[in-house]
Amino acid sequence: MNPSTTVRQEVKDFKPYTPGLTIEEIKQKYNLSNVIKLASNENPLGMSPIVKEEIQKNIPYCFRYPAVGNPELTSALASHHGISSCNIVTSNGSDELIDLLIRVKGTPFQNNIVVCDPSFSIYRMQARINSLEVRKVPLNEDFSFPFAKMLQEIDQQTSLVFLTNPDNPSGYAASRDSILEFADKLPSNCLLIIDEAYIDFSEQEEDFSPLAKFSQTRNIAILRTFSKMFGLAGLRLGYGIVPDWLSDYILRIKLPFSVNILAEQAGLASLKDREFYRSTRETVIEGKKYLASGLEELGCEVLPSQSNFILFRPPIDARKTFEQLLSRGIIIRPLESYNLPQHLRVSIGNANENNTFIKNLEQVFREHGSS
Amino acid sequence: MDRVNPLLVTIDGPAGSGKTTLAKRLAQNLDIAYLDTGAMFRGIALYLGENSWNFPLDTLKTYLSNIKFELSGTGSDSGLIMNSIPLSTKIRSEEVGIWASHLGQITTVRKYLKKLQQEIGNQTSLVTEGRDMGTVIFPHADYKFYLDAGPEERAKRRWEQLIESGHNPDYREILSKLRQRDEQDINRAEAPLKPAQDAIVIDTTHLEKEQVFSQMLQYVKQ
Repeated sequence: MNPSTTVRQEVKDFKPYTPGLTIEEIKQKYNLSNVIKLASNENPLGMSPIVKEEIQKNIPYCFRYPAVGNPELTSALASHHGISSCNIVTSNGSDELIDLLIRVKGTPFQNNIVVCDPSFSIYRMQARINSLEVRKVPLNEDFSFPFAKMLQEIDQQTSLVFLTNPDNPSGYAASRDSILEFADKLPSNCLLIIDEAYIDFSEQEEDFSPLAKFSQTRNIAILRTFSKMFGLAGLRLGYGIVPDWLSDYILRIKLPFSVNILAEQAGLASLKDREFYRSTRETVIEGKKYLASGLEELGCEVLPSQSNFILFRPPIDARKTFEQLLSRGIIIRPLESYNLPQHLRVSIGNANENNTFIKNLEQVFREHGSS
Repeated sequence: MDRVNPLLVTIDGPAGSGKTTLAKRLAQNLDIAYLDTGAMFRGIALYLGENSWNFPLDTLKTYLSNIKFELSGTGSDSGLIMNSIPLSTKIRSEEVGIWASHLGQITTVRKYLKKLQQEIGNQTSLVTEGRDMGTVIFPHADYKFYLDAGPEERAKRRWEQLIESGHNPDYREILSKLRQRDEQDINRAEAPLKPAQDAIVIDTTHLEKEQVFSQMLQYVKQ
């Protein structure tokens, strides 16, 4: 018997991840010297010079193990949000926390999770590998959350419900009050996970996030990341704001050193650097206005966004639009994998990138049958 | 050699006129520092990083104000220290060069660097070279040289340099790029390339490097 025959069936059911072309490959394929990437919702300003300097200063200490549970960062985050340290868990990107929550709260072959369709694939992947049933509820036509239909799917075996707010790829954000109302209707053993990766780009955070009312809730966990607003996507740093009983259990099974020394120091420096936060927000909000009006002028259907990207429907074939932009050195996100083949998602870039994108899109539409 | 009134020597001139080599030799001979202003631009670029030229201007100002330079050593041991750390060879990469040229187009960045360069010049005796050192950055320098040479001669020198370093350059291409660069330097609105009124102009077209060097040294030692 070959050892591969004992590989878990859940694992065999997974398909290998197929990454898109790298910037270098695109340059070569289309003979381009310059490529703009507006596909992964990264920070348009790169990263903070102060944080970069702090990382460099800490390189000599990389031979040490980080402190388990990152107490320094945990306490800085607690005072940043005005909550107790017992409610904070740091993680290797919010991805790690999604996996941990599923493993802490979901009993294999017994519990289920409820997610919207489309939604972030990691929720479903980690649930499947942990042998939990995944119940998908289609978003409403206007991309708002189908709260009533979700409640119909939720039963006593539902251990977790996931919402991304603001949502990806739509940019839609549900109001704080509607989320709190939904949380109140959940069965007593069910936890609502609100993934707020993009909340820093919303108009008024308190209108959408229940964080300020966290102490009055009992069944909510909020996920945050340093990958978007703070530009640390490559360092993998996220955290959760969770009920204290839950942080205790998460920390029992979390790999002790999953957040490395450089990520922790970068996180601490990021919280202090208000200038980078302010200028990123300003760049994204201005860029979003510019792109939204530019896209509308070109005949695209544009969804309002509380995030750092825009979902739009071009007046010509979306796949063709994507490919034509790619051949001109502009990478945006096609959405077949989200089951939205007629839509495209563009990340808000800096002023130069946004301008180049709109100019090229205009050319594409002109050459391919639209005004 | 730090003095109450530091000795300042500036060398300006078009691309390929031999400024860098001569500035370093002169600094070595006079036992004073050589200030590499290009390295300051590159240092700032490395500190601010990719995409920093897209920062809003007030953000750029905030981050620039964190950057401090010191100049240490003399002659060939001269070195710039940025925020207490000597500038590393990382600033010499092509990528950092591109970042530096993006940042160099921003008036706010040039103004801040001018201020830093003047602060260094107030404290340290130095030789420096560039396009506007005698006209804009150090108008009160003790000695201002302006080195010139015909474009064909400068292109030839560059061509020889490249041959020596094992490349296979095209002379006509070098010459046309050099003329283009001259055109830009002379006609730009801000700090156009020209000799300061009180500059010592040396036409090096028909001179050996050694001759130019001894002429310059004579002026300074007089």
